[in-house]
Amino acid sequence: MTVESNRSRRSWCRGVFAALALILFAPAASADLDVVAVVNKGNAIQKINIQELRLLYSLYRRSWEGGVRVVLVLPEDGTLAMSLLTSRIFRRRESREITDYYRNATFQQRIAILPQTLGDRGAIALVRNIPGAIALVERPQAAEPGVRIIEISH
Amino acid sequence: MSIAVSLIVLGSLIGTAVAEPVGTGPTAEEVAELRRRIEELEGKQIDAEVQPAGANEIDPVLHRVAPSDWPFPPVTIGVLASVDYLFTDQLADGDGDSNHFSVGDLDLFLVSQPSDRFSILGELLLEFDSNNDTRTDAERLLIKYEYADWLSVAVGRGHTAIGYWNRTFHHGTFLWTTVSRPLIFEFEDEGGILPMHSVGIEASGIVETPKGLIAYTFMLSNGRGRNPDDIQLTDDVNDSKRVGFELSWRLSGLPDFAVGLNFMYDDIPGDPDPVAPRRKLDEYIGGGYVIYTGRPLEILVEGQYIRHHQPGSGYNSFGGYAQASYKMGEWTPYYRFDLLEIDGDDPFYMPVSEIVDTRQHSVGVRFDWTSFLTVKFEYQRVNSPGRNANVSAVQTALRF
Repeated sequence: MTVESNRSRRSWCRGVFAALALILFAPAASADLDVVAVVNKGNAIQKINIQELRLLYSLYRRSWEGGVRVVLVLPEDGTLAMSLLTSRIFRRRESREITDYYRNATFQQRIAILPQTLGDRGAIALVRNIPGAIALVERPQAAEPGVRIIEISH
Repeated sequence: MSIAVSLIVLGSLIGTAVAEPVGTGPTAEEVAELRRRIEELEGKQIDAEVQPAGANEIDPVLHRVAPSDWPFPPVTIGVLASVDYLFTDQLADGDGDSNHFSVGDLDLFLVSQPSDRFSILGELLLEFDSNNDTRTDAERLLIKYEYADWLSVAVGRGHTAIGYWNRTFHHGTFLWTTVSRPLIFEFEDEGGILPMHSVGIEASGIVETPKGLIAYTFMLSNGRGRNPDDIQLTDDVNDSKRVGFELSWRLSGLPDFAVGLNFMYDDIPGDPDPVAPRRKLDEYIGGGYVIYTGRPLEILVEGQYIRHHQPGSGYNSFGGYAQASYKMGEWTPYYRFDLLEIDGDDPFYMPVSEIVDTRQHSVGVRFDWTSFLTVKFEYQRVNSPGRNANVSAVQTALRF
């Protein structure tokens, strides 16, 4: 009776954990798969991972190899790209915390100009025109001339 | 619109294909050429959306369409302000009444980036005192050149590289979780014991290592004046300069966790005051911090040790704080413990009545009403010689 009860409890726990994992990680996993980084065609970078994106978007890495200055483009609120930036790169809960982060960075003189927030098409156009720019966009929008798609590894 | 362009080009392609006899359709090269032309047209169209016809080129520094032919670099202006209400059951020296409303400092903040690597920061503070006088303080004026991630050079007046709080939160109560700064990092003119501002030059940078990020700052500046609240803005009483460095390490596997340490040396000039003369002092300041800023949880622990030395005698003081907060939506409850242990015989601190041994517990909650307005409710228990006070404070802090 005790063994059966333990088994039942364990299976119930497993079920709860599985449901929780689905709830917690499914949106992030979806954002991970559907969002790519785009950089200017002249940028030599070949691959990028979440940790490197964290360095870039947290303003710790401000130059690309070769010295070109990094120009960040922020995705619009409510997009998969913003979800990735908030939950996986910054590990925050609300996108508002991201904009607060950059506002505070101006007070610390870590940046003087707030990064632009643009939709996918605008972000791609900016990346095409600025050699050091990087943006996070949804995969179907990313295939455009003048930019290169960089898969995000984990 | 881009679909329309694609359809027109594809339509012409199909039209051409239909007109051709069966078996002589477009070659692979022709299809590739047409595809390239579609991409080119779509690209031009997106560019046109970002950069309207007739506008200037995309500005290489601003990274957006240059707004006009204005000859000066654009300036971002920020304002930080607060309105406070304070109640205490036991007055401290200098307190006029047991409860009052007060207008906090009005902080005008300007920042500009005239080129890709230069930035200029100015911070002007309007301070209001109990005599209804307004004092203007140029709190920061820094010109910074960023050569690379590993090297930036800044000159001017800024916040001293000493600890985490002083370089992160600056002025403006909106930026602080709590109502007030930690006692150890109180400003010089508010009874602070450390040199929070410095006028000079500093080199700083960030180096990436496999174990994480190492950030450094070396500074050389005018030293302290004859009193703790003397910030030597335009000259220096003695030829000796203050030197200091700060190092911090942010772990690669745990980027929200950081440890740091700092060291500073200064030669404090003697005071020829006929009533209370003082010989010159050597000042050594060493400290460190451990922080975790992975929201929702934030933990800050810092300590600074100060030694003043003159031939035949030395005076040691210590201060520190531990603060924890947990963000839950708009609400952030917090707690902080402050400690100041001052050497009562230290001739440098002795003339300042606010500099005394203090233990303070602060507990409160911050409510982020909007992204520009926050309200904080705080209770403090202050224990210092001759004063055991309960203090309540409500603060409305703004940023716009």
